[in-house]
Amino acid sequence: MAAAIAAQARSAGEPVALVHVCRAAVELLSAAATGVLMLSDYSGAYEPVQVHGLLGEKLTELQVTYGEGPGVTALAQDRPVLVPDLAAGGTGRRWPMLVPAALQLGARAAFAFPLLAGRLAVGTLEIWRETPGWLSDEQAADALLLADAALTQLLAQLHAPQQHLALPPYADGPEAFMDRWPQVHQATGMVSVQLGTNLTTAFLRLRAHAFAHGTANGHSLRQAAEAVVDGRLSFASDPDPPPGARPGPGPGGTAPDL
Amino acid sequence: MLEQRIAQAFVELADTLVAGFDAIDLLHTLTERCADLLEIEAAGILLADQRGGLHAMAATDQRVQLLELLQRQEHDGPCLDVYRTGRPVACTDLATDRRWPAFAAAARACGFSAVYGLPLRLRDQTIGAMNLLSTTPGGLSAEAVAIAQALADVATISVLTERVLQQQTTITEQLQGALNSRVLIEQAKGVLAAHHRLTVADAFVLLRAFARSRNRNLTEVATAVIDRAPDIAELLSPGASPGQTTQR
Repeated sequence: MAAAIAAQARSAGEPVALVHVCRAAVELLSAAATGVLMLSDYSGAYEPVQVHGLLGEKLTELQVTYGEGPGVTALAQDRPVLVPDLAAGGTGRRWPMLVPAALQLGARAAFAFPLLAGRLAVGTLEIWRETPGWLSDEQAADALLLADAALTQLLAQLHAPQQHLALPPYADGPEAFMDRWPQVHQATGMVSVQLGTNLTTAFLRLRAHAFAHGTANGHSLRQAAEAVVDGRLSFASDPDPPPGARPGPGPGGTAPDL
Repeated sequence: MLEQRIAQAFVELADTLVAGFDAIDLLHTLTERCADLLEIEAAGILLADQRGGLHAMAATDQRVQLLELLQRQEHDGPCLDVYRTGRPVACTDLATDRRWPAFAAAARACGFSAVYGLPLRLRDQTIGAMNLLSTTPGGLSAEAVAIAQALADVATISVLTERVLQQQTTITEQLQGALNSRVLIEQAKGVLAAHHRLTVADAFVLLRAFARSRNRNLTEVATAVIDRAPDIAELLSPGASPGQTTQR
């Protein structure tokens, strides 16, 4: 998947960005339109940051205007919302304003994937098609990987104006958030307490630390996270040993060894 | 007596209408009941992320060594075989088994001698695998394995029919929701651990006990912890962790 996105960027002669995620989505998922919408941490506003296709522009605008639609629901429920037939009974009741307008524009199916890791939510990836029908299993897997890539890209953009947080988009790989190791998520929670911030800021600070002190790949992110969980690294301004700190270098908890 | 406990476990795992039902909590309960009824030392569950990966979702305890042993099977081990084939796997003696040398060495280093893998299935689709781990070599009886598989089947249906299951693709919505819940719970564990100066393992015990004692959904409580919501203020108050292993 990273290769498909990179190929889009290469053919355009540009560094990898959200627009290439959208183009890859159009190609791989036979989509008429795709969009990435961002949820602002501060205002709660939901706004388009990258849209591909004229249909996408109109549908995105309608969703933002009405405040309803598959993407809005996906963010509210923290899970993908897959609508293989917008004309099917019941769909119109779910989104009474959006569905008739979408059908009139020629959209027949919608697939919205929340861009999130746990409580850290930054937006949605939306796929619109002009023919009804489910995504194949392979397309669903591609869509989930594209959503991972979009999440990473969006986070890279989110705090780019702040110089110390600016990172190359693929600094920790598109799968950073699907990190199999729970320490990254645990550390994000811990850093949010230490800094008194939300999870997004906490994660970006953790990643910035890993980038500055490591080889800027997923492995160093995990190492930084383990250091936070073990109490060897704290983001608290308090010079005292950080909350959660423990004596000893052991990687585990207080539980006895197996 | 055993039959009664088995019957109770079935009821517990099938009752999705109970107040506070939560998919991740249910998977933890499944591992605990299997370990208890089969008299083995540990059990764990991996779910497929539908992108080609497997994620450790629940375990009988939160020891890092156990969780890492579960997670490493994403690359090699009985659970990966179970997930790929949809069929159960048994290894009665890790010392002589040659199927997964790296996993066997890691499992033995943790003290385990026998391992079983059972599929989590819905119709003909395998969504993950359960690991049963024993410190004594030798086989579980066919009856014991059948009980564990039946409990796993019931739990799988409960997890996936949390909402109405009509189409195969709806599994994507259900599974992604469950996978995200696990991540959210990890974040909440981190918040609680930093707040109370606990290990993340103890933070999970505290989180789950709080949710249980109030008949509340584990994921909802975890969300409230991350949001510092007023309704869980008690959980973040200084006296919230009596009996926990306080650090430092």
